[in-house]
Amino acid sequence: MGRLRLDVGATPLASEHRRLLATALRRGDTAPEPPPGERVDASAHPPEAIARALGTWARRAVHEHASAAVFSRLLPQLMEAEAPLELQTVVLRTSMDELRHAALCAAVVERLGGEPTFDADLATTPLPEHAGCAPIERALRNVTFACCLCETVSVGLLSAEKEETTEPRIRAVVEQLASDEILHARFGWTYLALAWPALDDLQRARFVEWLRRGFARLERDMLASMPLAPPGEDRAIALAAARLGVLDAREARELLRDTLETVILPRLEEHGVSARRAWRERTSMAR
Amino acid sequence: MDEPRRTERRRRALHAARAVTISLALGVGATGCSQSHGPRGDAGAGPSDGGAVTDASLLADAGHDAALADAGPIDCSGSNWWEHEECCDLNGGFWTGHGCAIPGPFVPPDLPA
Repeated sequence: MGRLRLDVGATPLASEHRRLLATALRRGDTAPEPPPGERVDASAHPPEAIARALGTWARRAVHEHASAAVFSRLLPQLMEAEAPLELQTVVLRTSMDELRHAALCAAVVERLGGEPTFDADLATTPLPEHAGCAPIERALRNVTFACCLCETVSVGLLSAEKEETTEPRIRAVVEQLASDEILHARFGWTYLALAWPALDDLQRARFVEWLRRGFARLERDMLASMPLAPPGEDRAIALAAARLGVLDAREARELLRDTLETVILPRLEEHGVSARRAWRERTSMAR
Repeated sequence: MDEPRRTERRRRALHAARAVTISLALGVGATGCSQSHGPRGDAGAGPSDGGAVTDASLLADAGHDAALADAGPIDCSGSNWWEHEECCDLNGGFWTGHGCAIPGPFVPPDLPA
């Protein structure tokens, strides 16, 4: 465990960090980073909604920060798999986006009156190597999970969340996250379209076998990240939390199901992946 | 949240998700996407692909990970493991008071050839 801090330091590279945010990572005319010291008017929201939002945005900060390591670890796998240069560039941009997201989520926590540093396990998890698989199989499996599955679901969730978020500064953050996740998901589907046709029959069969586990892992982790409200909770709390960027868990779960069933599975099938079978036969395996 | 508004929001969310899956630039795979996924082609709440997927477990529980550690008297390999604080701790989650929240990142599973 360690202490995760997400503020910009005082080294000579701080200006380069800010320059990257304003140039390479820029989307739109307005930066989502909040002015220092700005706070949400807590009296305008129920305390329970503030508490829920604080917890959710804190977890997001930790999640986004660790995700930067996942994407940066995709780079050597893409290099080994002879992926085109633009994919290698974009995967690094994706990693930088995740670092920015972590800082933005921490800024929301601070804006809500919380402490923007977090106790977290700072040891990151290596990406699977899928021993015995060809480099392209290895890269495709990991890209598929991170981008075609996770990021595509995130696009839908953030899109819905964006509509409900009325607190202006928080909405700007949700919009930034949503915009960036679109690129992250597109990256995955682009690589799938490139790599899948290059696999032979055995490699494709192995991919579908792996996908059974991938779906189970996705389902398990995503549902766990969407804890349901206590039974009998006042509906007004969920509505108020939604205004602070926290989509109701039941709606989020419905959206997860619908995105899988009506978007991801059909699209994977169009690429030639037996995704419906893998989904039906998904098997929960070791974390 | 009234239901029509919620349904419309979901339709737009699914449309946004669907849009990112299109791989037009490569011209391979995903054939016919541009014809079949216009804004009015979204299905909204229900599965519309005609596939066999009818699993409703996403709304209830789907946790049945055989490899999750045992937390003593509680079976953490059973469904709804994230409703138990002990299982939540074992899986590196945060206990929210009424459920487990795993902060991620979501890491793909390994499967040797």
